Amino acid sequence: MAGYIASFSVLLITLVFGLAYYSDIMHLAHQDKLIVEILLVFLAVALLFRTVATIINFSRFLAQRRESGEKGESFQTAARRVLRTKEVTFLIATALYVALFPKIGFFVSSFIYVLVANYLLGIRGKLKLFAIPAGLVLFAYLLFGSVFNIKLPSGILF
Amino acid sequence: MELFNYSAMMDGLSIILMPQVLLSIFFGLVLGVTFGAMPGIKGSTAIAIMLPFVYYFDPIVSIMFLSSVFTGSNYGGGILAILMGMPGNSGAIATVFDGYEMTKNGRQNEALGIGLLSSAAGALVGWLFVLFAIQSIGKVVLKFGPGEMLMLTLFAISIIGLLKGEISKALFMGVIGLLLGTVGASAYGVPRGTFGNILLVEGLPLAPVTIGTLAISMIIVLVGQDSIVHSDSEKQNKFSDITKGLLYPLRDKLNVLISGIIGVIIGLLPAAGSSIAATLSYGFAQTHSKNRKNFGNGEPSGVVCAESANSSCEGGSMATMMAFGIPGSGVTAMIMAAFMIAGYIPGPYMVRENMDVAYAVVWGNIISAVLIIAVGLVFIRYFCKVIYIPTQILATVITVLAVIGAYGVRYLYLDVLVLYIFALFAYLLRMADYPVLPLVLGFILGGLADAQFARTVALYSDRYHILLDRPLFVVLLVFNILIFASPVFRWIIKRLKQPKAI
Repeated sequence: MAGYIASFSVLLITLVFGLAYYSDIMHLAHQDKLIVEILLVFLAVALLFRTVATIINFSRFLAQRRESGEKGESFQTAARRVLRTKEVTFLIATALYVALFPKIGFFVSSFIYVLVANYLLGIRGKLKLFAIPAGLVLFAYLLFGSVFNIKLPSGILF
Repeated sequence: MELFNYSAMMDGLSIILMPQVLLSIFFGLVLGVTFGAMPGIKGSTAIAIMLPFVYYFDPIVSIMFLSSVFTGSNYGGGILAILMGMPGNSGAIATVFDGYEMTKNGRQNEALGIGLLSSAAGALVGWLFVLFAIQSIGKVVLKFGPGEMLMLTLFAISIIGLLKGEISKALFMGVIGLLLGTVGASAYGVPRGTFGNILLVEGLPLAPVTIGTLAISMIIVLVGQDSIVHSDSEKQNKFSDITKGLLYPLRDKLNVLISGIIGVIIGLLPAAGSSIAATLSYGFAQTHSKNRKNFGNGEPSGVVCAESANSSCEGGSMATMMAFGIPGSGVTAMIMAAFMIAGYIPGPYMVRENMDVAYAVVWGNIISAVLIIAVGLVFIRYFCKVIYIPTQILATVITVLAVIGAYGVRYLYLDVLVLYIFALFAYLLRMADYPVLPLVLGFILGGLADAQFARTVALYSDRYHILLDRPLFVVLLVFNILIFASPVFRWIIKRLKQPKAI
């Protein structure tokens, strides 16, 4: 079920992207939009084909489930199960890190991110939990910050 | 025009055998491999950082140092592709096809050994070719116009159809990738698909898109597992496994040679790039291999052809830069800048007046192709241990390095957002069982196809028949028609072979 949710999401995202791209180029001169228009036609054909194929596969999957008599996983159960996985925990932690590092500073946010994400992902032991982020931040500071002079966001902290 | 200049060749050799030059080659390789194997840090970044080096050292020392960084980072990109499924540079994308599959099957040491010797052998083939042909290669290269380049790019795109998995899904992903590759200013400078965001005029940034799609999305999958290697596979942990891998390319000599020649020829063409070289040679090796069905499932020959072509391409692109003053990529443009800072102007003038320097660079790279075996061997002996690190720790560390890599190139927060958005989308694709490699391949080649398409249209608008007077174009066009129609041919042959139902 989770696979089908992902499949339909991919098709929907692609449709939105295709329509948005088309609306962005429709007023351009012929020479500027020619290759994009050709590719959009290919995309429309491929999208149609994949949508039909996914719907057929999904109905077969539902029919098989009905025939075998097994109740299987409902949409809500599948969604709930996926949301509790380590993958989603990591995605949420990374999203917060990406959103916050320009504001609170790269080095501090990286330290907190590695520490908290590792803990949530099941890493235990003080040495592992603290030494890894500390070592990584020190390495990043020395190599990228000092040697290569890459200006990473300092934010309100460091 | 004589085939090669013997006295300049010998003068070049004597220049390169100076101890300080040899030392610079060694340090360049060490630095290049280290940078190339770091997630998110590309070889071009390393060269850009090291460019001021040219002001302080002897010209040939600094040029060879930068050139070795280039060689080392090319190889380092392959290490990352094999161990973590993330190409360190666009040329290493074809290495992922089989290299990462070998790692997942616990054969990472063997794959690293194969990658190392294939890379060194490919570079050797490429530079030896350049050594003997640098004076006369121009005649062929100059025959490649935009039409021929477009055909060549289409040829590389056709590899999408050969990749593992359901063909309709691969093509779907390939088209999305190609479309993403067209985002940014058109060949006439008009913004397209930028949705009013001026920061996207240069197009979607290559590194964040590639790392997000291939690396971070794979990392998200891995956090749910305990190890990169499949739980039912035995992990190789002996040094002898690396040496076993080193011996494989010696048995697959023809593959190394053909891929090396494909690589150097593609490298000679300005703007063709190592991604085209590696994918073309992969397609060629796959169609001509006895183990065709194993390609994409951890076939050692897949790693051999990808790494050989990727490395030999460097020789070709450097030869075009030195002989014509045309830099085919960002990296060669930076090395060209180093030549100019050092007082040498690449192009016909250099070939006429400073041929000894050009030969010195060629000899230096031949030496560096041999030396990389020693440097690489020491490096991979320790780097292969990465598969024993818990994936959860690996995930957070790589994400931080990837964020630095994405942000550090242009200092744009947008690039970090692109990294995350593509990681999320690619994770969704993996969940839905869509292959992500065609998307990246399409994205890398989409920009090239767009540029060549626009040039062809501008040059031959309303008189496309002129293209048919160009023999090279016609040959490439026929090849393209054959390769794109090959699934139909295969289907017809299969139907004809099937016994008819009575």
